[in-house]
Amino acid sequence: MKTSTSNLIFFLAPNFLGFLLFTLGPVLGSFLLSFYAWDLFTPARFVGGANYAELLRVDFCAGIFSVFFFLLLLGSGALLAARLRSSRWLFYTSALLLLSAAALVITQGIPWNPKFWQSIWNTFILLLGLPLGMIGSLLLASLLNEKIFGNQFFRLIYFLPSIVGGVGIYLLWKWIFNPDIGPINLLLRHIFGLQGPAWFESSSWAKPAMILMNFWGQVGGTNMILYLAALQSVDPGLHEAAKIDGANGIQRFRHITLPMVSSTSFFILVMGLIHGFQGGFDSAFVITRGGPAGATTTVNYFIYETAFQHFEMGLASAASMLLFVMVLGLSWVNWKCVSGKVHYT
Amino acid sequence: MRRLRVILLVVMASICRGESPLAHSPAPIGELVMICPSGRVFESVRVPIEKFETEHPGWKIRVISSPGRDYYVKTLTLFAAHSPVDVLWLGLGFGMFVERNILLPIDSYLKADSELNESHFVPPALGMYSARGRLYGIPYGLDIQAYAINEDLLKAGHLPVPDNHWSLADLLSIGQQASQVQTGTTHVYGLGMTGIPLGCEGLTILSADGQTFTLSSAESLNWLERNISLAQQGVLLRSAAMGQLNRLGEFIAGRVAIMEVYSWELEELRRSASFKWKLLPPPLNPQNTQYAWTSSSGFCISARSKNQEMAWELVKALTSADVQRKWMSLSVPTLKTVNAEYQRELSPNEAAIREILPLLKPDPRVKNWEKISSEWKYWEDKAFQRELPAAEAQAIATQRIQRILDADPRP
Repeated sequence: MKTSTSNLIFFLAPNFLGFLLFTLGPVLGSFLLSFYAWDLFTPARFVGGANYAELLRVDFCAGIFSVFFFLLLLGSGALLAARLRSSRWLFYTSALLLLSAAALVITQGIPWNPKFWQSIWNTFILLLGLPLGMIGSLLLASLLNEKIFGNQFFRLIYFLPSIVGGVGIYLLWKWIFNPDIGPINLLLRHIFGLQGPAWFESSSWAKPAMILMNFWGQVGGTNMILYLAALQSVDPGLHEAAKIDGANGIQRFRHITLPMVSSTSFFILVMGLIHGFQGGFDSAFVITRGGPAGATTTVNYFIYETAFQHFEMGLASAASMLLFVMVLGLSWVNWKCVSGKVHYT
Repeated sequence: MRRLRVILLVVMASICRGESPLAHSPAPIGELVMICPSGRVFESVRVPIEKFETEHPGWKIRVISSPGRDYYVKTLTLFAAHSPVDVLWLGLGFGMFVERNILLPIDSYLKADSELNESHFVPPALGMYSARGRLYGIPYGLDIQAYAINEDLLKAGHLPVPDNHWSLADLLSIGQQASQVQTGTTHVYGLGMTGIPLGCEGLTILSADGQTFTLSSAESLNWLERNISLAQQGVLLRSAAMGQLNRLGEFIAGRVAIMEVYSWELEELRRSASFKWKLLPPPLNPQNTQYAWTSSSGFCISARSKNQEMAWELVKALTSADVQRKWMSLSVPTLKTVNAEYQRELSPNEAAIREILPLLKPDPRVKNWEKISSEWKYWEDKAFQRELPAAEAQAIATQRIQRILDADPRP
């Protein structure tokens, strides 16, 4: 069959139209809406950049802290710039510092929304579980890659968290972390004589509990399968040659396995960061409703709460745009810093 | 190739020819669309709807249900999207709807009705769906707040069992002493509540006109600091994440001496508690007055309904005496005849409900109630978690909540 432009357009059109209507359209709509105040019932009112200013405004103490933080970033940027022999990092971090200082001065009279900053902080903290999960997945995949009795069964068992419904799992974890009757605290009390923390009911322990819960879900599942596939594609000859040369197990893991699966690690890291920023909604919704004191409110949950609990569509759209910028920025940094160190077989 | 294109177009057209669940073609005479929470409410409307359809041939009722937890969000979103809803269930969220002008005033229908009039209802009932001097809904049940006492637990700790005339001082004293009772390794909480209820101290979140945040006073700060102190002493079962299920569960398990209880929880309490318990009205507050929180369950008509008269008939059917009798185990009936039956059937340990009925006081009807209450809870939690001093949390909450109120003044 001859390929013609009209055929190409015809076959691409459904997907492209769908993308325009259901993806690009809403994104552009959301961008426009971020400059309006709209509660769904009264006509939208143009407010310029007020929604962004409200979200980005920090209180004075936190502002001073962030200026110091950016100074630190500036120093790190300078060091990195020296290493990369490029002055671009220095330029970008200086610009960020100036922007944050200017924002601090300009936005002092604007309403302050501390919950947004808290949600960003919470999202970053919950992302700490990502490297832990990756290490766990790799170790687990390495174990399941060995020819041991029942490894097919264990592969199935460890993949289960990916196919079991989220809400059921979250309710189970809610019970596991119950301070009075949950098995973790009962174990701590009866075996070690310790009074366990209040977990999801304490603003200090809620995030570690979430990280632990996510770790359980991340160790097995898709990441483990990806690592397993990557491990099986490593040439056994490399290991045999290293063995003959006297390398022990740890050395072979570090110098052969790790570099050979680095492309998979990079993929998991990029996808994990993107999902991490966009995630945390379902667990917060089912277990804590973002509490206590906003300790488990992620950016995604903040957007939901602002849009569908408080009906502030403009503010929620502005938060979505900022989330988009954050994900894009972090993915770009990730790409620049890590992609050069990835070994593609 | 042209044939292939035609086939593909036909296939796609047939796939896309779906119908929105809210856009059915009308039945021979008419159709009413009703939205209510799933679960018990959804189950309870089946019989009256079948009866209504039999009595009004040609009319069909289409029920849309939504999980109770996010019922108001879904319903408001449907209204925002101009979906054709005729009748809707409303409870605690009535203010969010009435202040958005999406409900139909039904005073004229009630006045013109030959079967039903204002005098058929117990005094506070119609007030639950009134705003700005107009009536917007008919309630089939009142949700009330009471205090449940585990008498066995108090007697085991040689503590007095309070009567209907107890005070805030009694509540605090018994709560603190009961918390010291230990059974094995299990901690006993004196008070199964997230904090001493505002009514016990004569406080409210907003002024009666809903224009001012009133928890900015020195008394309110004392109340907040006292709650924090009680939670730290292990007297309050403050369960931020677990919510009411934990409170009720712990009471039923015999680990809570005094619990704040709501009428919809009484059925579970009757069924599961294996010890002697009784209900009490709210304690006398320092101003020597009493009031109990209340809300209601009922049905309203959308201002956009195209079949308003038939919707009124449906509302009457959904709040009839038969329906109210079915809800008696979970809420207080609003029709005088059924309410009298309810009061006659109250067991001795629930007799205090008779004393509670005259003390009922609903939350003010404010458009942004959800936002205001979540804002207060956020800063209250900050103080409870010791992230901020109570006074600072109170000051920030006052500033932020007052701004919400000022930004959207009531008409």
